[in-house]
Amino acid sequence: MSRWTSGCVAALLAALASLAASNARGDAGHVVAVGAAGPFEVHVLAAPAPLRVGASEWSVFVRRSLGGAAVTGAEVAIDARPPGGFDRTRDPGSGGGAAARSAASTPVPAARLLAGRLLDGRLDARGVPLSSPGVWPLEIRVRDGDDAGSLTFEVSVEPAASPFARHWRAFALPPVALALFALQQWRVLRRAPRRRRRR
Amino acid sequence: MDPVASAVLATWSLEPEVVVGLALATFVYLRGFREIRAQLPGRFPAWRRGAFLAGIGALGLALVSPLDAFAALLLQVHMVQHWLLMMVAPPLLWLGAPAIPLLRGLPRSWLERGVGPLLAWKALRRGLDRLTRPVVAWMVFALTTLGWHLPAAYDAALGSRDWHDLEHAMFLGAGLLFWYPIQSPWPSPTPPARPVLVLYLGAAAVFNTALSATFAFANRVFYASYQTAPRAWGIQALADQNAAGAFLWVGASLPMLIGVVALLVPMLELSRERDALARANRPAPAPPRTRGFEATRRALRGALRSRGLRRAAQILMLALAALVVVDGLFGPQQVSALNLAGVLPWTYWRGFAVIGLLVMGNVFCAVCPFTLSRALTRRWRGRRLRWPAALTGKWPALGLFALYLWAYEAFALWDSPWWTAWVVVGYFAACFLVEALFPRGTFCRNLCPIGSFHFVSAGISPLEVRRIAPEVCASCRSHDCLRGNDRSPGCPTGLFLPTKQGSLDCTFCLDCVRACPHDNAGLVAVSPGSGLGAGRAPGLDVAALMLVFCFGAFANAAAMVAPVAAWKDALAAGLGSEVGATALGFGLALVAAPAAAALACAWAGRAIARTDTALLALVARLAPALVPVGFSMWLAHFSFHLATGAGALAPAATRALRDAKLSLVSPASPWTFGLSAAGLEGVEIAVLGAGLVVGIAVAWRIARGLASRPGAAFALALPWMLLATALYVAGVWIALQPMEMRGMVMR
Repeated sequence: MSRWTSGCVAALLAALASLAASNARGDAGHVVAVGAAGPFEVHVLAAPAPLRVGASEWSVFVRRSLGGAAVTGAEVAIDARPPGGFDRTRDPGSGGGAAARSAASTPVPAARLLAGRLLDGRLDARGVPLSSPGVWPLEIRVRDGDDAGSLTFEVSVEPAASPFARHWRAFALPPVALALFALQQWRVLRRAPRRRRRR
Repeated sequence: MDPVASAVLATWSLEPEVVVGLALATFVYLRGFREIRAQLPGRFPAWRRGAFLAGIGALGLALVSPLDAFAALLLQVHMVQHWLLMMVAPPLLWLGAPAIPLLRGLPRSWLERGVGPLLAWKALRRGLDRLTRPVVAWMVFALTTLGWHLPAAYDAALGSRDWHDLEHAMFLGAGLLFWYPIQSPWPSPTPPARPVLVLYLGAAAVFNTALSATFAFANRVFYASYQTAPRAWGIQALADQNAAGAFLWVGASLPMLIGVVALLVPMLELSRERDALARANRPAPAPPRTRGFEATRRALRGALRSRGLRRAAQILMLALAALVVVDGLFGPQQVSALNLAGVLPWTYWRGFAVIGLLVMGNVFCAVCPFTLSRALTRRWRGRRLRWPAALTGKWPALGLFALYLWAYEAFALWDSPWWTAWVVVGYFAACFLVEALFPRGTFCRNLCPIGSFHFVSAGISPLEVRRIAPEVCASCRSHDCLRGNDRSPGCPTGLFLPTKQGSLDCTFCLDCVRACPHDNAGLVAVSPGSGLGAGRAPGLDVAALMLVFCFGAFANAAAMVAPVAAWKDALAAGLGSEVGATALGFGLALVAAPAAAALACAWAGRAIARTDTALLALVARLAPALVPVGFSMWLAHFSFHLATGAGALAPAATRALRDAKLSLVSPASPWTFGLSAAGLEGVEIAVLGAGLVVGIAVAWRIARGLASRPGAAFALALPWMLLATALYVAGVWIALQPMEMRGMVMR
């Protein structure tokens, strides 16, 4: 393989990876609720752990309580209510007064559910914005044909992580790179007098 | 397709850092392997390359394939992933003898000046030597494996991406260390005796058996995460754990068994030395074919040199500029995001220009549509006026650049298609007039604020127009690169290749390359930042331009964030004039702050280093150190708009086509896309961090050239390093603020 070809292959791989990365969700998250929803048994997974104010990824795994067969084509809705029942932070125009906005209801489109991305019965991840810390009541509604059920539970949402915790890898770049640079320069300076002596 | 199979195929964890890392390692290895194989074909047969690629493939399978996604649900899948990381990828990678190919694959200057001094460090070599001794390597392998399989550690890894990544990194590291003494890849020192290695592998097999049996015969589930995970395919947690143990037993024993056989067979037959001797004496195979590479290189070179291609790109840019002018003047003014004048320059052009500067060089100047008017004026052969001596240098361009930054904010240019159109028209008119009345290149060299921005930014670009062999230039008497000839005009900005340092004033037009009769000029790869502060000291005008470039980046970006906008509104209310408040703010940010900061840095450096160099001379020498930080802010800012508004063209173009009665797309379904702003914070901070690192390295390099002692050099550079760090902190603060996306499209 010529240098040019290998360069092209690497560049193509990197470009494809960058394009695909925005759609890829490999992290399954952690189980936040397991329970019966009508005739279904539902596992709810969420990431990150612990849940914090900001974006969160949710997945739902649905199977029949009788027989345990996985359900791939169900219609699922995630109804996330902020603490207190109202989401004040998402509507700054309200001035934080009375009922500003109804609860965030996030129905998951059926087309995405049918894809069953992770495994048979595991439904797609869906972003749910969590706007304030506290205990959030959640309801998962599942409908598959004539069968329907819902699972209600609560999750605790921690305050948003500090920017340093969120982006520690990006923040670590300068100290690590500068430490390597300092080490390298120290070696260069140590070698220089020896070279001069040899001459 | 079977739903499970389709789900498996659809679940790839394509983390960009993993994929890019693997792709880069492969690229560097292949590049180096090609070179070293041409020299030492006996040591580097083709199968080594295959083994390395298989090792990379095993890593890819472990980290980006569906295994990674399934690992959170099934312990046995997780075991397969760890087995690939410790038992499959490391021996394959070592079989590729990767040390020399990876080093030879790096750019030569990085190898000689960057990695070389580190590799020659005796303490490092001693440390690595000790680490790779069989006893140490075995202990690290065993403790890493055991430690991460303790329930607390394993559950922590399953619950946190950071811990999980650390676990994988440690498994891979321990695997590489474990297999190193066995394979001793060239050019490692003499390997341990074979009986010792057989014992080494035997002890590892016993350890693995004990660990695997614990999982295989356990009657309770060790890891809480798998107890609560959904039961995929109905496999219960305990059965999953037992199966994982069985797999670990067989899977890990197999490579060890292969290793033992590979060690024992040569002991019974030929010695390793005889084998190596036979391989080394084998006649060299034919050198790798390079015809394809040469043909591609020639084609690329020809395309870059082609004046026709450049002219075509300029005409395309001219057409886009015409669209901006027409839509800006006659299109809707209420929503700039629906006007091509609000979208093309402020979302796309700026973003692509800075990305072009980062990955290539000053590509915008190379295809600048404004210089087309220069081509028209060349037909007029009348006598040209002399450009006033008082206006030479970068002061006029600096003034216009600062004026532009103020006008951008004061007149909300991004939100005013009408003003944007007039700015473009004014630019064409100014360029035409100046080039018609004064010598060629006067506009680019002395006036163009966009060009000045690109000239300064090009200091961090990886490509530079340079002479190739100095001795050819030394014997050249015609100096066609400067004067031009019948093939091409000379450099429009008066650069002379033998004395050219860096990319300041280089428009990337490649006229010099085309004009050189000796074919001794071209685009040369350089380390980012190597041209900054190189050669003779820049004038004070250039230093001032660099300072305004840097501080302007932060002022321009800060004006977009909510706290600064609120502060500006309060100031405007106090002064009773919004334009006055903007002028005051930008006066402070572009004049007072850079001047005060630069003088303070020079004064502090001079006082600590105890030198008597003039303050302004120090400012002129060390101001280039701030360019990387400033560029990183421009890059973070403009690429943020490009990423969040990547789909902004569609609604604007649909509207423009509809207005022109050319609509092919239904207006009811404007198609738009873009990345979320929140997801870009980390990328912006990383970009700023990279700018800080390059800036500090440039400050140190310049200061080393100014002072004979390292201590004095550090003292001279330290205040500039601190200033760069303060700017980095300011940039991070800006990146973390809520954005006031006035008039721009974002997701």
